[in-house]
Amino acid sequence: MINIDAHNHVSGKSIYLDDIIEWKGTLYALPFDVPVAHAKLGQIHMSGALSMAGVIAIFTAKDIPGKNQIGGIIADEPLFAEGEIHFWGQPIGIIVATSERICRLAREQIKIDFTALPVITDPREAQAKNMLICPPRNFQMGDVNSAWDDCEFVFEGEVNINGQEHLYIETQGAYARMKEDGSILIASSTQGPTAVQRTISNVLDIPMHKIEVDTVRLGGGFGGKEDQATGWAVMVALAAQKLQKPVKMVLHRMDDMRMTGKRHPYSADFKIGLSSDLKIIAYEATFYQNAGAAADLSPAVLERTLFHATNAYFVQNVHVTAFSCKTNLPPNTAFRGFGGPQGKFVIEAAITKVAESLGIPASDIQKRNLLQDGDEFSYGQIVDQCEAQNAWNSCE
Amino acid sequence: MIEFILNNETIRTELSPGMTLLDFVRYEANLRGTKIGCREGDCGACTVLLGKLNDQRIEYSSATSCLTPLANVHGMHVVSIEGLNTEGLNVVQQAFVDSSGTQCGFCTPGFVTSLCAYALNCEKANVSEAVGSMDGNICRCTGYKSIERAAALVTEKLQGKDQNQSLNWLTNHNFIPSYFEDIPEKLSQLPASLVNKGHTAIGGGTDLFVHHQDELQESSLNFLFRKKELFGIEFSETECIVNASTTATEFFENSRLVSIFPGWHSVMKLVSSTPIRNIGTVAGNLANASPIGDLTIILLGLNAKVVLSVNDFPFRTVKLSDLYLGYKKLNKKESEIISQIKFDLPEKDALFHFEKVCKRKYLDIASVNTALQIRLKDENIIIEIHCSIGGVGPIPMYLKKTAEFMKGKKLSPALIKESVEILQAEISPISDARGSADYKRLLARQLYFSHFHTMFPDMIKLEDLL
Repeated sequence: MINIDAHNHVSGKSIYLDDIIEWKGTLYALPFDVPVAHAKLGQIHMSGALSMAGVIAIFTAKDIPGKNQIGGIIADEPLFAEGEIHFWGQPIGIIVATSERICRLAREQIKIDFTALPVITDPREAQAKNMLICPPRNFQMGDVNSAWDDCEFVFEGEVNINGQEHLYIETQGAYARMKEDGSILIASSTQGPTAVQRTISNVLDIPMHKIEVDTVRLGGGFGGKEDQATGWAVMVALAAQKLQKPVKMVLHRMDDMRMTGKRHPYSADFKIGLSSDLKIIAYEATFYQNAGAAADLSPAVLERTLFHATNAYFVQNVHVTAFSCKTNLPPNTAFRGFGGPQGKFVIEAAITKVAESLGIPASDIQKRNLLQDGDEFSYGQIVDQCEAQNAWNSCE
Repeated sequence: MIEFILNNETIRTELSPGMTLLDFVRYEANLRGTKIGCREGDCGACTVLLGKLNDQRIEYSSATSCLTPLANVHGMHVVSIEGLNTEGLNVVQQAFVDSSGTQCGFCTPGFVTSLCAYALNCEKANVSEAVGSMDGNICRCTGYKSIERAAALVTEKLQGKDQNQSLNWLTNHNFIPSYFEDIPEKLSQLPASLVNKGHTAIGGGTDLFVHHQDELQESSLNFLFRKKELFGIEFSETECIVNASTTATEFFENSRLVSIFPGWHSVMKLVSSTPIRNIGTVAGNLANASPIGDLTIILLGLNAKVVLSVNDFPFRTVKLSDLYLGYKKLNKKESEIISQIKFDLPEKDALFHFEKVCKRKYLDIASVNTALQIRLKDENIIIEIHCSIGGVGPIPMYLKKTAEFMKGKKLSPALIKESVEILQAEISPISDARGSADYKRLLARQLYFSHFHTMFPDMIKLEDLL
């Protein structure tokens, strides 16, 4: 099947956000932040930047007509930091100027007072201090505690999984202009146009029907523009509404990488027990999800980790627990697999540890425990039309 | 005034010569097919073709337009993706469609442009070279296999390319639009030289434009890249002379150097990427004074000298090993520019080897890189040795004491092991993003061993060194 856009893609005719020819009078916006991961915010000195030729305005939290809130699942993330900074790269406001270059030069002139506070980046430390995004979740089936005694082999271990940058080649961006009667047309490189529409409505305090979101295509997203595209769109919508001018913002790669969340790093503990013929009898795991400074999509990602905790294997006694831990990193977000890869990685690490300790190939354990029709997952679903064994056989 | 041809249109502009070609193409010419991904030469979304006349013959190469100042394309043919479009699709574009080599499409114009550069350049097309021509392009959707299949399709279509009438052949076979055939004549009408009285010297711009784009746009710059007197590589009976605007590609593809240094091409593959080698200059790498500059380490290993000129006149010659005084500090006045690099052509019995380790195999900055040139006479006595190493101190280092210790002695595993102690005393690595100080010391030792083991596999066995 040929991608319907393929002809335009290969000839450079496909129009991405920054390819929209600018409306006359377009202004450019740039977010500014402060190089600290956790701090009490003091005064923002803007006069130097505001006096530069070409600088039109600087907007911060106090300029927001509606709610300073962009949280999708949980209302815990301000559009612009207010009072405190919770991660390095958290937007404090935007500069609006007649060119991107003037924005960048003006950003260097903004001085921000702050008092640094202790920084937490380790999810286990956050969990120990009860800094959680949402209550912990756990899935249980059978009884692991009584199952260990029936196991021939029992192994325990710790696994750490790093984050990952989406690196969509097209960076985040949005472009807003006013239409009649206070309506806004906003082009946004987003995977979630409705989230953009709803959030602009809340922040600008205008009804949703006055907001038209135009998303023709994205230059890659991979989950990184599911929730995280929203903030930038709201910012340009705010500036367009305030100034009654078209306003565009396309992030520089360095700003994008610094300010946006990534795949969640996890730390996890596991305990796995097997019979003498390598059947996995019991599996226990505790996941510490490094959510960053706000919820974003973390609770949903956390659930998916638990859904995939036993990967493609049947285990009759399972107890898996997951904590979404609040740290001073940019809010981590959706990324291909959405928490699934982290869940699978931990049980694969456990199987690898067993295999290495027993001096056998991991594939012996994997193959022995593949799902079959009628097996039950720890969340109650019964396996139907299972292809795990067939797939394994055809690979062999 | 800067004059060049953009696709099929002659451009004359008084815009800042330090503006990037990318910004000109996208926001002045409004050709939005060329994309912005990183603005630092890593992603290749902004790749364009640069065509330059060389004795009536036009040569095209790929280039990252984000790192190319406008002045550097004076007198050239610049081709964006729009300029490659024919009626329908050209062969390269069709290959991407047929192999599903495009998904989100944002990187695609860059890939298509790089592969078109290959179609224009190649002599006898093969798949691995065709794939290699896209080594400066990143795609996040496809996983690359479909793009490799596109390269294979294009390679197949290139069999039978007529080298003598290549533009004509490529036009007839729908690789490029027909206006390309008129470009050499049009280019020859453009004024050859750019009147250029700026202050700060700049070569290819591939390093400076990564972080200083905003300052450079407003700076007074002395553009060396298009100065005719700085073109090319020359040879005397005993010496190779590399003029300052020679690009890394010209340096590594010079047929004489290729024949002198076995493995020259595989060294090239370790240095940056195709579109950046096409515009980055050898002299710029030296002037940039990075402690891990690959070309710098290679030339230190060749015991090169540099000619410093003032107002276009050669003023003095300095050994490259004496050029570096401290971190990014050169034994060179502001008014002096590096106009030539010279090194003695190696004797027939000399051997040369380069090693580099970085976090990624390609398109990455070295953690440690090193070069070694050596000559042995009867009974394996070392009569000449030069060794350089980068990433282990504030400057690219010439290992003077190590070489002095080795010279005149008989090469053996024991001697190499002994000399490592001197090497370790000469270097002073620090821990940074490219590795801990201890790791770099380990790399320094291993790569030093690797030089000898690679050059003298029978005499120097790894088990005797460890």
